[in-house]
Amino acid sequence: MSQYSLVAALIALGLASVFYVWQLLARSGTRAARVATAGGPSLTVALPTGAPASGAARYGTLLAANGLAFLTLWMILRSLYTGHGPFSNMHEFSAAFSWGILAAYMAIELRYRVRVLGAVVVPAAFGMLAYASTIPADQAPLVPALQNNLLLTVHVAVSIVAYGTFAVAFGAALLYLVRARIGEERLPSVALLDEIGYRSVTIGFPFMALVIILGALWADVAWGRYWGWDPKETASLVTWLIYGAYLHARTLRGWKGDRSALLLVLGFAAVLFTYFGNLFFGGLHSYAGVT
Amino acid sequence: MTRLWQLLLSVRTALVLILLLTAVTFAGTMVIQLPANIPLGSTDHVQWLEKVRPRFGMWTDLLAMAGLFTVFRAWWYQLLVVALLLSVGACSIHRWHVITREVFHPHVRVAPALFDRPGTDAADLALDQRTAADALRRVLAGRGHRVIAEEREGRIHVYADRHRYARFGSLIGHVSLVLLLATAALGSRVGWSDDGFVVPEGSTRELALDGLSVQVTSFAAEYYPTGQPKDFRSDLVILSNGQEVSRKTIRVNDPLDHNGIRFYQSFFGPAAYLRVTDAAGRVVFEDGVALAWRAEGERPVGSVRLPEQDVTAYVIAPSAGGKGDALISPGEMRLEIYRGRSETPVRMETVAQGEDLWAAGLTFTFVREKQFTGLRVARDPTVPLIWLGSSLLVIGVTAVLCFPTRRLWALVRPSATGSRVAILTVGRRDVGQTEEIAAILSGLPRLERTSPRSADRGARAAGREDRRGGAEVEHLGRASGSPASAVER
Repeated sequence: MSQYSLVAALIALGLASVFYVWQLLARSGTRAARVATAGGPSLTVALPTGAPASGAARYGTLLAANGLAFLTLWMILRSLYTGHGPFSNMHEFSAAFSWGILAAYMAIELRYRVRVLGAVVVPAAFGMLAYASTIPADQAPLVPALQNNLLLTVHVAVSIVAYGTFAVAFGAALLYLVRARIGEERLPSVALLDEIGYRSVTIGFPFMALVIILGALWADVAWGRYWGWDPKETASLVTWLIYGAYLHARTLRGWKGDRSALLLVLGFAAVLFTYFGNLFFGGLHSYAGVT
Repeated sequence: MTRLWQLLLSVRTALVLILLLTAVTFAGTMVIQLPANIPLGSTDHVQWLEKVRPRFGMWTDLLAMAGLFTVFRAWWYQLLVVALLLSVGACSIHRWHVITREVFHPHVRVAPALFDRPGTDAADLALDQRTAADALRRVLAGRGHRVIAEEREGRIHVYADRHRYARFGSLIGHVSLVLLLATAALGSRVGWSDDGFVVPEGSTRELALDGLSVQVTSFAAEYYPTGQPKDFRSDLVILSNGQEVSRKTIRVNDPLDHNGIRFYQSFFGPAAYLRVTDAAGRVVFEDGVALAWRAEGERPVGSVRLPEQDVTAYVIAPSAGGKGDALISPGEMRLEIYRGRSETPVRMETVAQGEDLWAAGLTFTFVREKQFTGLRVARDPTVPLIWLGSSLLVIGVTAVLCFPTRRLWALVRPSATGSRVAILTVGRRDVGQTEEIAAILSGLPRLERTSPRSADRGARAAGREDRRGGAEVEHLGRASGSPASAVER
């Protein structure tokens, strides 16, 4: 049952990504025509200038909202089944990461009515979910160190909010850099992109602090020390420091603008490093056998 | 001295320090770190380097020389942290005055000329000046603002702010960082811990703290059918001068706490129950021996020293439970008996359970196989301060980032229609603030609004506004006679 909703979410997000990217490419009439000729007969219906772009975006939003709903359903079903949040292995955690990206994006789209951002962020959520579905979903039992349903659920749930908002900030920064360089008129203004990036970080930064603190709390309960320079611990500190640097840089002459946007890109690279890190640096966060 | 102070106060300095710290912390993530329980420069340190040498090859010595295996213990890492803390501390002290003044004694009046500049948000009202000011006050208060008004030279100045106490959030967040790191430094001094406190099941061992002993009545390790570990638990009894003072079954996520000393389930391994009798048949030793170290071939090994007889016995278990161990079969133990400081054993033999070995005038009996539990025992009275600092950090950061203080200045003047209300803010407006100003103006019983800015969503003209915002900051400062008051960080 939960697998069906995951597949439904995957399909919805795949289609949403297509519509979002399409609306970006089709925003000006000329570009719409070019896509139509290149993409074959199925796209030629979209010729009336202007209309297809907003139409496509609306479909994108609708589909992304559907994807979010299916993912939410999946998380609820999975949590009911296991008794803790669906965060105990890479499969569950990746699908939840996708949920975080999507939820943060939908909140920003709702607030700022900027759909262009979806062309970057929604495919990222789709990619994360696609990655999740390549990992076997079987419910591996929890090793002793992870047997703390409350902390497992809260620690990881909070990290998903942080990662999701950082993904949105990354999307905004990427568009910022493109907009600042080629002055692409179809993109929102640099000021708005800067604000979206900042707004996302204002949510993500406190949440990331909470992730680290809850991790320290858990480490203190399970291992008897709140900080031990474990690679994942350290990587999450690096991530937090980068966003801390961003918050200061954004107020400085010579650092606001391009360099701040680059810090957001770097910050998300650190998020991905922290996230995928345990696949290669081992440490206490390896999900197989601890102790 | 002044220049050093200025340097510490600079956000640029803080930024550079954060980025440097980020870079070296990242290096410490990429390169495996020397375990914390190995002292620098010890033989264990050298052995550890040899263990990682196959992974880093020719780079090993270079990385070691650069200190990259010991980043978090390096003096330069600590220096960076201290420098950042000094910067944070200096900024906090410096900001304290600015923030308290803005929160408790804000500047109400702004030079009226500033309200005449093109692009200022304004509304013409068909009300007299007093009534208009009251209407403005009501709208602002209704939207959660604190409002202060002053009449001067026929004009009514209005100052309003929202979430003013969030100004302290930045201060609390920064100070809590200092608190956290100071606590960690203190904890490493006053705290006590033993990472490898080993007790065989059925045995009692003395703790080097408060005259306590730990008795492990039993240990159990459970596995899932897949072979994954499921549960490790030890039944502990804490004894003080032989009297039981505490008792609990501890698990990985469930330690025992006795007066702030906490006992954590950490690791486990094989043990052997050994009995030694002398020629007269007197029992000189009877206890579990934890095989918590590793001998050649990854075989678990433990030892017993009998001082009276000047004899040391080593007990060695088969590697990996005995599968594929040519020397020792499953269920057997190898005993090696040494006399004095001699490096050559008097006797070495593999014995089965219940079998005896005669050596050095003594009888060694491997009674039976057992397990030992490895505990981490720690006492750190500073930990509550860590949670206090952490809470303050989250509260402070959330306040300043998610509930930013909004401030605005308004001027109410008589005009041809009745009165005119104009509103100024400092710095670039974001979408939320733009909407707020528009909502305030449209909330007034207005005649006609003349506002080029509130119509636009703030984004398009923002580049221009940014520069204008900078100018406002200067003017505001000069108008109030205090340059610091309007400088936004």
